[in-house]
Amino acid sequence: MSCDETEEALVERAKEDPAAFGLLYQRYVKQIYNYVYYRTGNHHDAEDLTARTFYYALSNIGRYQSQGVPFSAWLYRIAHNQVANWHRDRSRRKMIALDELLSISQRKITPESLIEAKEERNDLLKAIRRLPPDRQQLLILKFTAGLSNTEIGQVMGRSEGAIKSLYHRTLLVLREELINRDEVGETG
Amino acid sequence: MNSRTHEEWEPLLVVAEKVRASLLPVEPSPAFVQDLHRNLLAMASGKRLRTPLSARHGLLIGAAALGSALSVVGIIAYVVRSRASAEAKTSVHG
Repeated sequence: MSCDETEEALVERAKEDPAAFGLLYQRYVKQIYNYVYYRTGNHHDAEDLTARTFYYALSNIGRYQSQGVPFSAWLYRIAHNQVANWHRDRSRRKMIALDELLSISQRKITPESLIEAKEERNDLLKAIRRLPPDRQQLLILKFTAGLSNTEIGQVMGRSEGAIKSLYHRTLLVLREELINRDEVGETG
Repeated sequence: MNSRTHEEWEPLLVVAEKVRASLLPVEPSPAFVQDLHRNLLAMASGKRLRTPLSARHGLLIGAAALGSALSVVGIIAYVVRSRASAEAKTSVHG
């Protein structure tokens, strides 16, 4: 592969060449894994859905056509659909798996301020998971994947302006959540 | 950015920073990444191997169709020639 091979060329090659698909996999596996992890809240399902995402991509890459939308956006859409199916299938099973993020660290002896910061993070993660799926998706794509509003719009099929507006509304909701949390903390 | 917009956004930027700090990237297990990579390559190679097979099948089917068509043309030519020959004999004897 030449170093300056465009992604579009690499994707075209991946339709016939397994090694080229392997390069795309290596390029995006961590991003997709992070996205799925923060949508499901546990590593076990993150692995399962990441694998499903790439199996689906491999099976359907022959039908992929760029049309101005980057390959990563196509992958994120597949991952998003996998997560949506996962939530639908398990709607009766309530998993607060993000608790595991703190369960280990809280066992350690740490300064109170550090514990408070971790509690705030835990509460914020829970608040994020209570948001509608599109808002969760936006935050994860923005902060974990580091995508721009334009790129997020390509993934979510919305305009850049719509993404900005949704982002603003989402931050307002989270701010309210944090304020309420602080008020409960003070009165309690 | 005017001051009112700035006042509106400043507390939200604090929230945004907290969200950023909460959604820290996580690392998938290296074993998982390697296993999936290997499985995908195996699956992709399987797909690639099927393509020449399908092409070979296509060639066989095409050759068979061509053979059949040539046979039909041959039979028609034989019938036409036989009839012409019979007609010629009839006209000679008649």
